[in-house]
Amino acid sequence: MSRPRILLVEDNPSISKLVEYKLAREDFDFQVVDNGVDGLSRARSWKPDLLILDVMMPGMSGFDVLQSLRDDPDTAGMAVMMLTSKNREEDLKRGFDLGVKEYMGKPFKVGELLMRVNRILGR
Amino acid sequence: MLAIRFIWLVTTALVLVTVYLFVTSLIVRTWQERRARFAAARRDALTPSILAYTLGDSDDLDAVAAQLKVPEDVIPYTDLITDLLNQVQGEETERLRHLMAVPAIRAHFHQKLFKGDESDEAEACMYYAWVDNLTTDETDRLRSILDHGNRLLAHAAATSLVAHPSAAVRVEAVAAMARRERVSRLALLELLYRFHSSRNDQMEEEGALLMALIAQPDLPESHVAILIQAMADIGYVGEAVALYELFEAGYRTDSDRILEAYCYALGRFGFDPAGERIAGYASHPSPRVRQAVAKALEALGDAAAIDTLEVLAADTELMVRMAAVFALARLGEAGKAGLDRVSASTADLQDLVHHVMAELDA
Repeated sequence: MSRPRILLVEDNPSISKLVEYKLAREDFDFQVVDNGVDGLSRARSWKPDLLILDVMMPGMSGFDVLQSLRDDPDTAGMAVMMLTSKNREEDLKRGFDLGVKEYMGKPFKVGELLMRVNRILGR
Repeated sequence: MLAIRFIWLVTTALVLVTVYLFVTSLIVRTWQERRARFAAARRDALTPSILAYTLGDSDDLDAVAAQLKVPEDVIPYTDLITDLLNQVQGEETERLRHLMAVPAIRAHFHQKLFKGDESDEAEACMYYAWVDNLTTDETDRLRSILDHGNRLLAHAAATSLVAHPSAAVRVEAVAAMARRERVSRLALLELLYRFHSSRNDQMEEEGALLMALIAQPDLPESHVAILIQAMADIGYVGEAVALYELFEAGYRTDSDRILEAYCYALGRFGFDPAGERIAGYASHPSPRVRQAVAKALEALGDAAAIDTLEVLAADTELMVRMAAVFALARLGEAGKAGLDRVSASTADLQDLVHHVMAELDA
């Protein structure tokens, strides 16, 4: 069975490296991009099993990426988890209205992130 | 001839200055780029061992420290750790703090703290905010900066000291900022929440120290109000009596802001004996105070306050009317009866009551 694919779209390289380090040890096929435009393009071409998405990024926000994915029948059902410091109630509502599986605020616990990823991927 | 010579000289000088500026900027840019590349390369080199320690794959702190080869490693190392400290929480935070305090890094910032240069001191203050076990000389040095003429530097020192294990030192940092006129509400609030942190075993001592600070006569009124509100929000309920006694004694009740904060805090503490006194401010000229009275009476949940709330529900200011109607709606059967009377008095109030009830149902 192939390894689950996870795409992280995150503009903070420290977070990317931290998450990559953790998930790489859990036998995931992991890729990172650092902006929304490339994130959308990679999500469409690579079709990850789970997209982990920051919100505040230069160029295109995580919510814009999510909306574009939902508007495209090819990617409308993609599992998405938000990982962001925008964690007010209205942000969570917006995310869940767009069908995200999980919404994690920053600062976050790395172990908890892994648990949520595993839950979404049914591992 | 003389004019031509002059023009030639000026032109030559301009060309030389332009060439000089161009070459200098090129050298500076190249140097900056090399430095940035070096920092990025060192950061990449240091990252795996930092992450391994942070995520518990390794407990060998010395092995991480041994990676620090040159003085230029300090910035990429501390930048990465600070960045992570701002983004993660839980067990990883503790481990990142260990990494921050390895001897080479500690020595670097210790030197900066005592150098006497403001920008070095500011850097050191920011560093010490992440270090738990400050030495006596480091603590004393940071305390001496609290009264510095440079407000930002003093604030940085206060930020470091509010994480100190001693509640007395922490309150000294808060007091130094609270005494300054030009400290923002947000900056003071942030300090107060850091001041408490998670030290639940020191709640009693912290509360008493903050109460003593509030009672000092030289603090700006807006800061006293923030201190009182933060006391209530953090939950120093043991100070409710002391706060009520200040309130009863009329201490600074001439300030609308402080009066509003008293009402808020005593309501939040659920301090019933204050109900009558708070209700006495229902006719205060400031609408903010009247609104605070309505909210406090709601928080106290005393049915005896229904009459006062009915009066406030007919206030001239919408924000007071709203607070009073919300309060009545949440005060059980007696409140509902009061609400019916309010609703029957005017069409506007009937609309307001409907609006509030719809919002509560939602």
